[in-house]
Amino acid sequence: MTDTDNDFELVNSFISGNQAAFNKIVLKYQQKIYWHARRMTGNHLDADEVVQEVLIVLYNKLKDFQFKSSLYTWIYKITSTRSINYLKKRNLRQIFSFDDLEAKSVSSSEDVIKDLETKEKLDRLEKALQKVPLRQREVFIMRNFDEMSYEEISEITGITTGGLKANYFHAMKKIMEIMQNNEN
Amino acid sequence: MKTNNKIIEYLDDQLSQAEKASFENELKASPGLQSEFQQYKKFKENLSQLRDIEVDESYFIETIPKFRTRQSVLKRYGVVPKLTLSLSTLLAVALVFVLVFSRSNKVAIPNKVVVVDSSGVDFSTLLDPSSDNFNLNYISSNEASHYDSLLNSMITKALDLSPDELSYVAPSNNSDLTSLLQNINEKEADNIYNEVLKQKILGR
Repeated sequence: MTDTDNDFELVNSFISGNQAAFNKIVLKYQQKIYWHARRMTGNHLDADEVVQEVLIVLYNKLKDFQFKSSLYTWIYKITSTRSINYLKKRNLRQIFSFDDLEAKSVSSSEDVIKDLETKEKLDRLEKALQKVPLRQREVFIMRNFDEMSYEEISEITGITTGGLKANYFHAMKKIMEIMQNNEN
Repeated sequence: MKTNNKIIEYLDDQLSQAEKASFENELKASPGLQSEFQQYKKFKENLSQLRDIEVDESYFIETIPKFRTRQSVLKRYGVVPKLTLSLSTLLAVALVFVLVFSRSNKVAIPNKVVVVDSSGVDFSTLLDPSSDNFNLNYISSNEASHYDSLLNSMITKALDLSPDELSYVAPSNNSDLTSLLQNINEKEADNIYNEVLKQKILGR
């Protein structure tokens, strides 16, 4: 049985009222949702919030899913939209000083990464990622970490492959420059 | 195409076979390009180390129970946050409306301007319906002439006019204010009074 067939069965089973099928879908995709949200938001607490928002949307909208794309692409689309919306709200909260991003990024006790060296490397990357525009950041993450093709990214973001490549080049140069400057 | 874009495309496996071969030849011939290429390559390798990070699995075990708890809270109290949001939005809109409207009225009739005439009476109090000096019916002809001249001097000063030029914009007859007041009928006076009263209240 292929992965898509399995997803199809799980979705149909959930629509028929089987709550365990929803749990299986979550178990299958939660790490991908988490890591996209984490790289977009730059910290664990915000990523956790985005994961919960995505699951709520997923639960409410899954009955309308018609398999026009793969379930993974559809979930990724929701995650991408929720992450961007969350970041826009967070920026607003920061403007009105309701939120302290620095406090979130240094709160290591709440993190899921236990290896200190990896955590330091990830911190440096997350800080650099936060300095590039949202759309560039998103393409950079999808291409480098989720290893998606430009066509897949285009389907999710609605941006042409040419536009995506331009965003990717800008992001790559800027992030490399920031990280090299931080090392020196 | 810029050189570093080509490096990125090469490392991103976006070049055709012919383009790849051409770039590799270019790379062999240029030490500067080789150095830049090595920087990008190293950076990409470092990134790949952060692709599959080992995490505390207990967090992911908690994701579904956390979602179920949140879902049941939303089902139970879902209407409360929506209602709170609607009310606060309504309140914010009302507040902005009042502030904007109030500010526009303040511009129309400044309350804080103090113009004192020679007898020491604050001229602005004559425009204030709550003031003891506000009396449209019993203003004497002397007072009217006095305030006409005061108005003329204010207009001259504000518009930077010579006395000759004033005749184009100011009433030539000093008794114009009196005759104007005498010609106002009761309905018009009521309207003016109500308008002044409304502007005064909203202007504060």
